[in-house]
Amino acid sequence: MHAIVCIKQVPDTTEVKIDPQRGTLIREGVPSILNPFDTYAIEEGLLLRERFGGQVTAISMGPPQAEEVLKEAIAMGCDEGVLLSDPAFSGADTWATAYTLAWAIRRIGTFDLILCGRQAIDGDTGQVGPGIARQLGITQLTYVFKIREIDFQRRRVCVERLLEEGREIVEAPLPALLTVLKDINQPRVPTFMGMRRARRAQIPVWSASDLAKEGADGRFFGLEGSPTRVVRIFNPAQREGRAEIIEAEDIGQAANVLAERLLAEKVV
Amino acid sequence: MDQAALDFLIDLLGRDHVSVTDADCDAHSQDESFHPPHCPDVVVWPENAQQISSILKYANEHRIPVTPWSGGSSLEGNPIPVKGGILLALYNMNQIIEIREADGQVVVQPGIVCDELNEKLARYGLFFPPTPGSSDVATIGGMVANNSSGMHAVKYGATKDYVLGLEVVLPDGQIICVGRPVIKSASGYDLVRLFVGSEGTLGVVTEITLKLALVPERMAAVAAFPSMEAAAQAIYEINRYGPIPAALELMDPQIIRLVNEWKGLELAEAPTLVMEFHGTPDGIAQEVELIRETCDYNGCTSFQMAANPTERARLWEGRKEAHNACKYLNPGCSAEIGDLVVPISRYAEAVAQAYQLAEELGLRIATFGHAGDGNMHVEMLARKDDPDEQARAEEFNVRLVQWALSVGGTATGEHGVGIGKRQFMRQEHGAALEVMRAIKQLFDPRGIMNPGKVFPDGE
Repeated sequence: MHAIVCIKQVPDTTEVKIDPQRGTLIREGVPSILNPFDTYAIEEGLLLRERFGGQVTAISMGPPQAEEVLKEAIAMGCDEGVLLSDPAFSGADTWATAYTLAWAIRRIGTFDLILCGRQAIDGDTGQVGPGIARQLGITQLTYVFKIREIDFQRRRVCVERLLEEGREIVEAPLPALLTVLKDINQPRVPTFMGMRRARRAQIPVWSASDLAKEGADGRFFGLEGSPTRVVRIFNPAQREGRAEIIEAEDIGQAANVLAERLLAEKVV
Repeated sequence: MDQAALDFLIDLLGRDHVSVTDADCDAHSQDESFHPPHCPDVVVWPENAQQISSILKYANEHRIPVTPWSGGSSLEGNPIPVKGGILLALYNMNQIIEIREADGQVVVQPGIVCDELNEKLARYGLFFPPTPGSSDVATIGGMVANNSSGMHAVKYGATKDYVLGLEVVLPDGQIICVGRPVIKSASGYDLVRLFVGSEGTLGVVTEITLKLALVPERMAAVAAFPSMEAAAQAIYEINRYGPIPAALELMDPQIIRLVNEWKGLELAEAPTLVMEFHGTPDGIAQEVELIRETCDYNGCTSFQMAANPTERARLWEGRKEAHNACKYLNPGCSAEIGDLVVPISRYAEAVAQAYQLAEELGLRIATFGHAGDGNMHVEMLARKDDPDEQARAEEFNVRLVQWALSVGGTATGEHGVGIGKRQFMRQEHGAALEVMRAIKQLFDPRGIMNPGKVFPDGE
């Protein structure tokens, strides 16, 4: 079994403050962390390796300091990490990011599964995972909260997806890309054994030219390769809330009035 | 409380940080214990030590009681403002001030929740070990005040073993720092240990420097036994001949029945040991093998193991839900929880003693606890509308604690004295209680800090 886990270094948004004038994030002094959703993808890869043996490779695109999150993935138990870092990659939108990661995955070679978190807490798009699957022409299974069965002989995986209208059970051929929800497992924390391994781990850094040798088209990297343009960033207008106290004869009647109001407002 | 005092607080903290509304006073009138609620006159939310200093200075001058409150999850009424006055809510002071990775230390404010601290520390491979069962809500400030600990105390000890330094506001408003951020020091009286476990009766802790531990590899194991005697014998052999696990918990069949019903589990209704092992993979493998041999020798009927966190959580679920199962499956009952500790050689006897007493008094109980460190919890289930049963539960508690004290134990292992254990202070400490009173008098001569706690009434 070979699982590739895509991870991202993000600002710790619990520490981020917003510039009230400009409506933008104040990033100075904010610590960078491993995207919390990605820890579930890493854990799922490690659980599969415990059951079936094999290898878990973590991959990330980012500035040189993104090596830290790959070391964290190795500290959790991943076998290897690969960093895609090149000024040419910077400013990539979700399409260009998916394009770049897909070429790096081709360079890694054969795999059974690609695992991603449901989204990154900074961009919140949830598009890179599906984008990679599309680029590689493999099945994407998003919002996975349980792997029901996986059969590496028959090359099939069966998962449960958690959707707004309920749970969906789907089967797909391997290799497949899964984006996982936090209900899927409980991520392990790095132990001192893992930290020891991570400290000495060498993380190869792949550049734009490394991927170009595989056949990637350099025009599709980074800002230049990104179809998305950010026109303006602004805070949406605050919605005005208002309170209302329902007067009624007794609790039962008050509950009826409340139910009618909620239905009328289409809250329920 | 007079208007002048309220005006002072509003001037100092701002209107948003002072409340006298029923909702706010109610919300700070009762902890998780069975003790009756009591409202403060005013709830305040200070943001720093300087503000707390001003509040205490004013309260001291005007003899207004001050009760610190951080998580409100305590089990002995420790933060209930029984004399009214000012309720000092500290949970907004919840920041990590500094992580000293290379020193294995962290500096925090008192309001940070234990689990949230450990989540933030995880990426450094560090953790604060003495997590109580309520670590999802318990704050570090509250843990310091009550010298809390939990299931891993057998290996890691209690909060007192991890506090290196404290910033404390004294009742007269003076701000002092005690301790040094080093592993050892032979300099002067150990004031850190004096404040740890003082339950907010000596001052208000506003900053805490903690020692941390390296996150080890972990393995959980669960062993079921045919009888309490067999389980007790296994516990004795583990404690006496080792190896000592990182957690060694005993659940009786009664508590297993309750958690099965509460969480829909299918645990065998048998005396059950829940254990955890920490260390290196090879070290853990050997420890588990030796413990398994001990359990087998003593007739254990099943032995399950798990290493990854998802499976470990499954094995631990029953133990973690023990108190909630008692509480929520018995509506209309007060689930008073005992917290005594006996020398570990008397642990099995303590369980037997509890059941014998319960039978004598016609009371429903269930026990679980930390067999590795001698700390037993007893859930006493008494109907709130049955004064006779309530009285029998109280008698049970008193007699069991007195028995524990008679064999060299203590009235509380981790919940603190609060309101409920004050009656045992004289018996437990004898003349040393007067020394405690003298210390209290020295720090807080006007008795404003958390009055009505720790010291027995009417002496």
